[in-house]
Amino acid sequence: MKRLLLLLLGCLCLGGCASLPGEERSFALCLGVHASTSGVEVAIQQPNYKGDQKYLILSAAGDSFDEALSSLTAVSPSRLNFGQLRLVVFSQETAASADFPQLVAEISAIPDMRLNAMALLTEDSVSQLLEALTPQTGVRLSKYLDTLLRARVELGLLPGSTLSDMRRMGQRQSPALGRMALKKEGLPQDGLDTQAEALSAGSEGEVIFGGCGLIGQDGLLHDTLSLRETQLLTLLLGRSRDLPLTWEEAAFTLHVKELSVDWSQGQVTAKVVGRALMTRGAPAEAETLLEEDLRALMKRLNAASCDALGLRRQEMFTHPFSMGMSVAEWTGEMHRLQVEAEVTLLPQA
Amino acid sequence: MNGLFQTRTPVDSSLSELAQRQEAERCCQRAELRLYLLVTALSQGVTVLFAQTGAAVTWMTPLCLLPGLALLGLAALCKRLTGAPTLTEAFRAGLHPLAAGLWRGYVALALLWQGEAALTEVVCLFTEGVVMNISPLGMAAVTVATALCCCQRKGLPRCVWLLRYPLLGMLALLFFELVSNGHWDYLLPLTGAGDAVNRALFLDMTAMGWPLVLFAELPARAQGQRRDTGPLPAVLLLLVLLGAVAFSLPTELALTGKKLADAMLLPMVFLTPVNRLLALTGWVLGLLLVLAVSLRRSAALAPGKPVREALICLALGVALLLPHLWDEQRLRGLLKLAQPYVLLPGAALILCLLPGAMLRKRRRKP
Repeated sequence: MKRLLLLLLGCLCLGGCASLPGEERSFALCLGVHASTSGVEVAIQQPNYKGDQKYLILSAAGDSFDEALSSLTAVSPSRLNFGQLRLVVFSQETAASADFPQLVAEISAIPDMRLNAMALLTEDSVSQLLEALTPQTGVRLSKYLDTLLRARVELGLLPGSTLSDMRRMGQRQSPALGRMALKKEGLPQDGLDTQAEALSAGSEGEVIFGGCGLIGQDGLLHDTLSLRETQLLTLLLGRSRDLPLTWEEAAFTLHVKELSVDWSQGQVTAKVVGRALMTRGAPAEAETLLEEDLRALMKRLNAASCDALGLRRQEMFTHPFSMGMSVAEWTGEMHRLQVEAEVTLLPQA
Repeated sequence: MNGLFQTRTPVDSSLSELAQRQEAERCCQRAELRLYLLVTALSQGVTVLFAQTGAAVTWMTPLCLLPGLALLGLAALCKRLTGAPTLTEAFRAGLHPLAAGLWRGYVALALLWQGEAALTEVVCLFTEGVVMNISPLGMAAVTVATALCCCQRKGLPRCVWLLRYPLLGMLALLFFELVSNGHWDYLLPLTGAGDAVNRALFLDMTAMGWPLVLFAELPARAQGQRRDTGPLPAVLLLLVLLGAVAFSLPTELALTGKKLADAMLLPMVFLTPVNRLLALTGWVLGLLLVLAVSLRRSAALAPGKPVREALICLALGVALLLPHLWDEQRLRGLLKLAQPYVLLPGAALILCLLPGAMLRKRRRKP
């Protein structure tokens, strides 16, 4: 009996067996992909294990993603492993190209891929971006990215979509992917109505995270949102419960109590009930401002055919025995949708 | 370690001690069969039903289990009519000892088919999904050797009995993560991949519930004992788990799992690393136990002493290993080809037994 139990416990360890010990693998922390008509460029960032807090950037190119990845494996100091991946960065050109959905599927299918890695977009060169991305505090890059990205999502500056989310949405929802960029020169002029990199003149670090890109029903990038719009999107997605919102006329921290986004034939209605900790302006004014901005945001989502709010999930319940509308039909339906927003701000107790 | 199975309850006499020991053995046997049913049906549910029809797995699973349940009901009726404790005895009493031999042969072959399927799945899971740099034959040899080491007459059911709570705890963890990742719309469309696919799948998967007939071999409960729930807990757990899998992934993604390894790994891919490791180890452990149970039970069906039984078990293990020298893909094709017909001989035998059992009952009446 003892022998039998030991054998069975030994079997438990079978599932954890791996071909190589940790020291003999290169754990990529960030993966950058840029696809263009001339081919695919892939770059990774990994620890150099020298103890000098610096990171190794490897890049390779090929006719296809597979070829570029094979070339990258060939120049890697040891076997590549994506089990610790934190970021996947696509150039915006890549996200707007027809190969983008296939590329996402290929990346997700890499063995040992960490699908909880956040997917982001950038307008800059992916290899330059990875070179500039270093921890600004005395922690390792993986921990730095975990903390920083979580904080950005909580503040509503990033929508927080991961590779796993993108794969599991199927045709039922569209992702809104966060954006990152190299720091730009000059002082900010437009506040939160601008892109994140314009806010960064005085910030620490060379890489700035914030804003998002809208992926349409066809799986391609159609539009980008400013920081304020991204905050409102994360509010509607239910990812931020305490959101600092500022306008010229009013400023408050919104603690969301109730949230619903309801689709009915030809109309989408967002209802937000929350407590507002006002720092400037009156609650009635804040309600009006928020309603206007939510309407404008939903119109932009519909115009980009980006179903980030998962309206199609609700539409499917009207015909439970079939998938219903085709992608083209649902895109047309989204363009025709009327939008409505109702905001109720409760006074502070 | 022997102390684990010592009778702790105060007993009045050696007779009642014997009855308690028999009841404990019966509990272990029942746990073994429940695990066997759960793992085999879950494996087929994930790799065939879910991979080919997505959300429709929620109602296709009970539908595909129905033929097996109907046969179990008929077998129970035959046992009651003949007054026999097991189905083999019912065959002997209601028809002819030769029919009992045929039934044992059928069960042994079905067990070996299931064992080969479990072995192929373990090999495929490791060589095509998890590690990829192990030769299929090497993996098959390691698996068979481990399963043979587990094939003790009493040790295996007792081990399953001991592992029941850790296994249930693990399943609960996986269930909660699958449900927390889920969306209600993933249960739609209810028809999954479509009516034509569902019809073809039902015809292919009628044998999904064949291990249910093994419960007819458990001796009937004694007078005054608690009502036996039989396979019910395993069936309910199976439906809950497959429901959670369907709830966590959309049909269009489920249908992308074309290869066996992809289909097996798909529900685990989106779990957190800890739960993924738990799911993988639990899956391998379950398949290994299925292989061991198949080997031991089929060897036990041959008449003989324990030593001879062990030798038969060894021979059967080697026999299961041999097809893996051949082409893996062709072996999988053959196993799949036999799938729709696994339940048919059993159904024919039980249907033949039914009139015999009725006649026997009529003869017993005066």
